[in-house]
Amino acid sequence: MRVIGNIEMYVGKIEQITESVKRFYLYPSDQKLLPAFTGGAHITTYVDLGDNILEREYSLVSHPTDRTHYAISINRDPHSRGGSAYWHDHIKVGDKVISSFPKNHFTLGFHAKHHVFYAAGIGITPFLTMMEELEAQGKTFELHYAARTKEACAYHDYLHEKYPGKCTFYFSRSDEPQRMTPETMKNQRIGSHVYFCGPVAMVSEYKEAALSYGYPEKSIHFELFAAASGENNPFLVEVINHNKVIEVNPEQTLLEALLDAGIEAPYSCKAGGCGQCEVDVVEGEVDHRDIFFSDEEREQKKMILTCCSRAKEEKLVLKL
Amino acid sequence: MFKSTNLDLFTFPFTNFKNKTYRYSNDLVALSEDKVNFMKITPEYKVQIKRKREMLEEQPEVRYQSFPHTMEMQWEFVELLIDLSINKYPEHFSVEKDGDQWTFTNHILGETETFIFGDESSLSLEPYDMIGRHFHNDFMLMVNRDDNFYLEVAQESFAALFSPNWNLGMSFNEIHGPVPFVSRDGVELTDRIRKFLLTIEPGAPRTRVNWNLMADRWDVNYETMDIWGPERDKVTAENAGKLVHLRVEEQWFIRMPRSNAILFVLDTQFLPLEDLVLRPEWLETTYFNLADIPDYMAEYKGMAPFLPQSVEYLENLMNSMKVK
Repeated sequence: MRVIGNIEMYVGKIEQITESVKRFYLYPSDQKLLPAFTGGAHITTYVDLGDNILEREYSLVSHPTDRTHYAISINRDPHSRGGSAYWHDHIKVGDKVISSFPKNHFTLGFHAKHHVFYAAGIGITPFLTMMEELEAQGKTFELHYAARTKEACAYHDYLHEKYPGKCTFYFSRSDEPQRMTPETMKNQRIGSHVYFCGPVAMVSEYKEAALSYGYPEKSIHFELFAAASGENNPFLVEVINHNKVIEVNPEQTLLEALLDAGIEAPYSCKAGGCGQCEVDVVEGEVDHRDIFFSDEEREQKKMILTCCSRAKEEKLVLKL
Repeated sequence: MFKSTNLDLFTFPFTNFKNKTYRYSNDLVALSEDKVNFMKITPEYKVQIKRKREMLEEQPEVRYQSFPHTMEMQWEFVELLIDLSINKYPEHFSVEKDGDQWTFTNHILGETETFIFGDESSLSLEPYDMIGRHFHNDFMLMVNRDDNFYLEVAQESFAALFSPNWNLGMSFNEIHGPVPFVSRDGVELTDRIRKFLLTIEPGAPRTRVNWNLMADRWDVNYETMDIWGPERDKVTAENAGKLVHLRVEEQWFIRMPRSNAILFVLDTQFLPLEDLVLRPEWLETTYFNLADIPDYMAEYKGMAPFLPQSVEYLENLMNSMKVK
């Protein structure tokens, strides 16, 4: 059983799921069993581009206890930072990819009486394994899934057949356009947990709505695609216990600047959603761009998520 | 009582300290690939296993506890232990797999376990309890739910103010409630470590070394405090060398990918203070550390009733060596 390190994989098969979504099947080069995982888990993939490494996180869409291979589904994002475009245009069967162990920052609520999933577009991916788990455990759930059209809706037929009566689809560009709204959360019984996956704006909207309807914070779960953007100001960061002052330029995140300076800063999702990169702030105002901290936590605690948040003014003093 | 006889396998705890002073801190460090396998067969293996099993027989509820929903997690643990043991000691352990029919052999003890992997009805003990009895370590499974860890399976025979019976179901913060330490900026150490544990991912295990002193006893749990509590007062500066043991816990923190839990493994080792003469540099370091322990820490660790005597013993021992 594997315990440490990353796993060398090769691409064994590529399937076109919709016009813009491809499913990649990854097999371990050493033929040994892979770690099983839990619903909602993802891997970090590393592709060697020669002059640098393409590092991206993708939800696993293969069965959590199938240890012969992993599968990921990637949407070719027209605004791609290079990741999805590279995977779509250059990755072919036989290529080598390094994978992390499966990690999960988007787990099912253990105490939930009922699970309600809201997916926008490719945000469907983590829910595929979560529903697999719940079905096996005989627990109740429902899916609300928005896409532009039925044809662009990845895994539509699979979901429709596998979970009859549990999935509601919303196609915004069909003959009778339908819009998915947070309102459906109002009708859930107490004890229900809600889960959102999609672009930042969608997740923020649903999270705010759920709170306003009275959902306890622990019943609200979400995962993001990418960090919220804003104007990227340059600033200085002093790391007191490392005796270093580092410049963070507009092209890089605080996290990247820390890592470049040789400081072993923690991180995981790089999207302001998991909280792994939290660092203590000793001095300076933080421009919080994550959706991990609540407003209350932002006021009370002197913390920053280095993957996306920045300094409000010229300088921050951190301790890590 | 047993002690480490091969000092090369003994984990001396005060190797990374500043100014000859020991203080609590978040000291979990990343494991390197060659250190990740926690299996360790020492000359004391048979004695330890015998005693561990006696304890599990004498007080089964006190020593082993689990929740019914943990069966799949238990099998993940079984697979891990069997694989690690065979990897490190192929001469001592082996397994044959015929589909789900597994036969695990412990060649040191001449024992065989045959079972259907994934089917707990094929065993007389729970899977975790069964495989744990082949190794001297204590094993705790802390399951990650929401933003905390909950003790859901535990097998233990070297308790330091801990008991599976008492602590089952408690969160990390509840179990560590008595930890008296607050950082300079007012954050509780326990809560900081909880947050740190959340960052331990599958594939990136961590380790730390904990230590304590114990008076003529390897195991102090809540259920037997009436016995060991008064024993702590027997210690004098004359007999501390034999009675008082430096207790070292080498700890591993491994995130289990299917269970989404942290497996907490303890390798507990003992060295009577008198054996520190075998390594004079250890003797001196131990003396300086113990002489400087603040009262609140001695109280928390349960060593307050015999710490002054132990320090006096070590001081006399050092002086006598200098005289020679």
